[in-house]
Amino acid sequence: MERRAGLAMTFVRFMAPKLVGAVITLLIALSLAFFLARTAGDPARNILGEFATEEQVLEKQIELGLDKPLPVQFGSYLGQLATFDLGSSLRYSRPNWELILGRFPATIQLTVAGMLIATLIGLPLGIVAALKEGKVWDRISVFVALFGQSIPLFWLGLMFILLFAVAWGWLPAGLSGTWQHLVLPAVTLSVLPMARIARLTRSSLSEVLEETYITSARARGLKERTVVFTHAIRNAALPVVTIMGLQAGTLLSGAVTVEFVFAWPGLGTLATQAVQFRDFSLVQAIVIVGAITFVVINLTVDLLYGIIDPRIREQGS
Amino acid sequence: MSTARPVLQIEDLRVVFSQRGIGKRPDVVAVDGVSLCIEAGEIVGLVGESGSGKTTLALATALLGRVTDGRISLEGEDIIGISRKRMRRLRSRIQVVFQDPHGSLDPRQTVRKGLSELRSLHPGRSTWITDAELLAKVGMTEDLLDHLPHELSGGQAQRVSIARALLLRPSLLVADEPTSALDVSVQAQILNLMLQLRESEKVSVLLISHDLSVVRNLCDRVYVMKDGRVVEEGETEELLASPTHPYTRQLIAAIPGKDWDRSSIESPNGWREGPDSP
Amino acid sequence: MLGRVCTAEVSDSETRTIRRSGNRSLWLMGFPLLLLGLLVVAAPFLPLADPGLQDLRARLIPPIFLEGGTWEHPLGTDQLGRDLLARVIYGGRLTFVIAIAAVLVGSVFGTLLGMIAGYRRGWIDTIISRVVDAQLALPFILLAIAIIVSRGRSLVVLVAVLAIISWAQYARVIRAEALSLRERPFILGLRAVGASPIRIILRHIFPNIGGTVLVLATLEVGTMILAESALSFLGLGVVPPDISWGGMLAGGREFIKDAWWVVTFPGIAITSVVMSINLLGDALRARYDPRKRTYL
Ligand SMILES: Nc1ncnc2c1ncn2[C@@H]1O[C@H](COP(=O)(O)OP(=O)(O)O)[C@@H](O)[C@H]1O
Ligand SMILES: [Mg+2]
Repeated sequence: MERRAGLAMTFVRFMAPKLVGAVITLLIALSLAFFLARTAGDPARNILGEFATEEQVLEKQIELGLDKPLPVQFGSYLGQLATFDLGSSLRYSRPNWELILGRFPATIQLTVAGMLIATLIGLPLGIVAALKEGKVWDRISVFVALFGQSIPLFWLGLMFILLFAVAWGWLPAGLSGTWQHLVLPAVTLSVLPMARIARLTRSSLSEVLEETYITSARARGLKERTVVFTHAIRNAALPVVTIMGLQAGTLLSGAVTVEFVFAWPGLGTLATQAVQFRDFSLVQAIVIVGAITFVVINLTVDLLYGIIDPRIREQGS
Repeated sequence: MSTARPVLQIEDLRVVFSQRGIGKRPDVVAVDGVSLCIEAGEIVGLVGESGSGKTTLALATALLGRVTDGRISLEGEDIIGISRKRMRRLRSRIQVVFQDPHGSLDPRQTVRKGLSELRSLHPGRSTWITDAELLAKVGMTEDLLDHLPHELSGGQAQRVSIARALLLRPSLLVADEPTSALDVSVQAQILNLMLQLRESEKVSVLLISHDLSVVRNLCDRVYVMKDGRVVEEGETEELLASPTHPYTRQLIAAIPGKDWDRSSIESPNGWREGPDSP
Repeated sequence: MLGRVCTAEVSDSETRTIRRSGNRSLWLMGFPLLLLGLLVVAAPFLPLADPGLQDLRARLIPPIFLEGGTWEHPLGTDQLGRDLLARVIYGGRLTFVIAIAAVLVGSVFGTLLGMIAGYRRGWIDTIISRVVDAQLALPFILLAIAIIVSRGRSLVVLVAVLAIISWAQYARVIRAEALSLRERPFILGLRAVGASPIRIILRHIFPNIGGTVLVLATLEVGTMILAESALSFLGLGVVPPDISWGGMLAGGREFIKDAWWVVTFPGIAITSVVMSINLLGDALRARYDPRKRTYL
């Protein structure tokens, strides 16, 4: 009982600063988004286009609250955030959160599938590469890593469509519904995180393998496989989990273009549509949700980190 | 030496490092109420095991580290809490030589460029000597002027560091383990150099080491430090002959070839002789 | 987030593998890029078609190696009958200019702020690090969208957006380097002779992290090319009639069923250029990695 309380204390002590840090990060991120978008620009003019009259622009500014001084605008922006009010879409005349919530599942489905594929291929590839440094699999993994970091995802998506949908007709080129619809966009989206996971797994595992305790484990007569699976991979997992968290942002960014290519009805498509219709309010709401999602994912990763790394768990006691 | 005011006077110096972060860890008291005094022309040793606070004290003295509490005065002038402008002027009077000879020189700067930068920073104080003469003072030739630090040996790099310190005619040279990273034969040369410079440049030296045997050959007095406090101080000979603190005894016991040493200490001036002269 | 271990991007073993190919690879990697740069710069003097010239009778002509291809349009034409070869080369021009401009702006700001944060520490470091964290917490495309929607599209806005995206990366890496440099004795020694922070940062910290900045900037050119192409593809980047590779892909997308070449060649151009840049960056890193060589 006492031990459990101790563990809980440790956990709180470990997570509390991270939580505070995350909230601060989020606040700064959202302020950044606000000021980058509002200062020196004139959203009203941009929404209406260059042929709008002065009155129309003024009317729009009043409608959007852009006629008020910047600090006042910022105040009401923060007020909105505090009450979880994301505003209403200018084009759809519906609350933004409703629109976003409607599209969120599709994006989650796509990104989770992409991350799964990336991990399922990238991780083994990195492990094999580290174990057989300099051999064929190593070269393959180095190439995959290089390729994945050099190719524009949306173009890879276009090429997939060209081959699998247009030329061979094996898979649908766009929209969603069945699992077949998910294959191409998910594979496309997985390429970049796969490259990074493979690369990082390879490098952190080969580093760990060189460390002395592995050598000593070997010297104690353990089998190679035992060494790799019990000691090395556990220790190599830390940076890999980290990179997975940091991939969340990449994944969200990638999702925007990939969804656009495959007409996948997620947040990314919603964002690009919002751009086309100059739906300023909706764009802002999506940015906010994107930042929150990223921060929450990274908090989760920190949590996983604490669970995996015994050093961090023990620090508190 | 003269009876003028001391070159360096430290009174009740305390340096506390507070550990940041929410999971509150205890503060580290690196220097805990140390008082220390160096008269003009003296070489004073500061000895203690690793982690006893020697470097922290050295950095505080050179206006490079933090000071939580206490007084430090240089030639009678207080140097804690003074204006930036005065600090800048005072800086040249106290110079530091560090343990890592290569790390003490900018890897991308030749010896010559480094010296000319110093001259540009203190135009008034540095005209007394040419680069070549300066290098000669530390036993080097001017053909090394255009070398980059990695082209110098450890001993050469340390000589350059000392030359750089001398250029500004400091009253006090703080040498933080200046020989710990060097080969034994080179160590002796550097220590001898210090001794010579004390005579020729009239500079006082605070020589820091974890090793009593380094200090005893050239220091007039020695302070022994442990866990941030000075546990014993005294004339080198006396301290070695009749240590009062157990920790000092421990340090003396650690000196290799103790028996030979004891006899040489007892012979007048014998202990001042460096192991080999250049 | 900033404090977490994510700097281990290149391991010893990886550096070893890269190093094995040695200095030769530096030239090997640099040469194609140099050639391409020359080609792109010299574009107006080459016997190329006018990249903006529309010819509706010559729409979607296939490349020379397919049936119906002509030497007049070696890579074929797009939906408006414009010559693809000329457009790929001229598109590269603008793509390069944008990416390099963004990298210059981003690296100057990022490196300066990173050095200041790492060297001065204290509150200024706290602020810069927090902003870097926050910046990296915003999915870059969404951030770009937010800015471009309210500011409108133009080359200046595009370069600014890309620079804003990239500065944080420099600041993060350079801060870490400056942090470790500041504890080195030679920096302490310079402070001991009264050298000002500005002098120390510009004359001593910067030269010692120059290699890292070079490596980062090289890799970042690739990243910026990818980002620019994504934005232009979404219709947020280069405004027609200006040509960039991403813009060409956006235009050709609708005709993917009838004319695969229109979307294929610009993509090949992007991928191969970014790949060469990444290889060059890795070769440079193997050479300048500060962790590998303590002195010089
Ligand atoms: N910047 C710092 N932050 C926290 N603790 C420090 C710092 N510098 C030194 N310390 C601590 O102060 C103590 C004395 O260190 P130091 O002065 O380097 O000892 P020495 O030079 O005698 O080996 C050590 O316990 C060390 O961990
Ligand atoms: Mg020390």
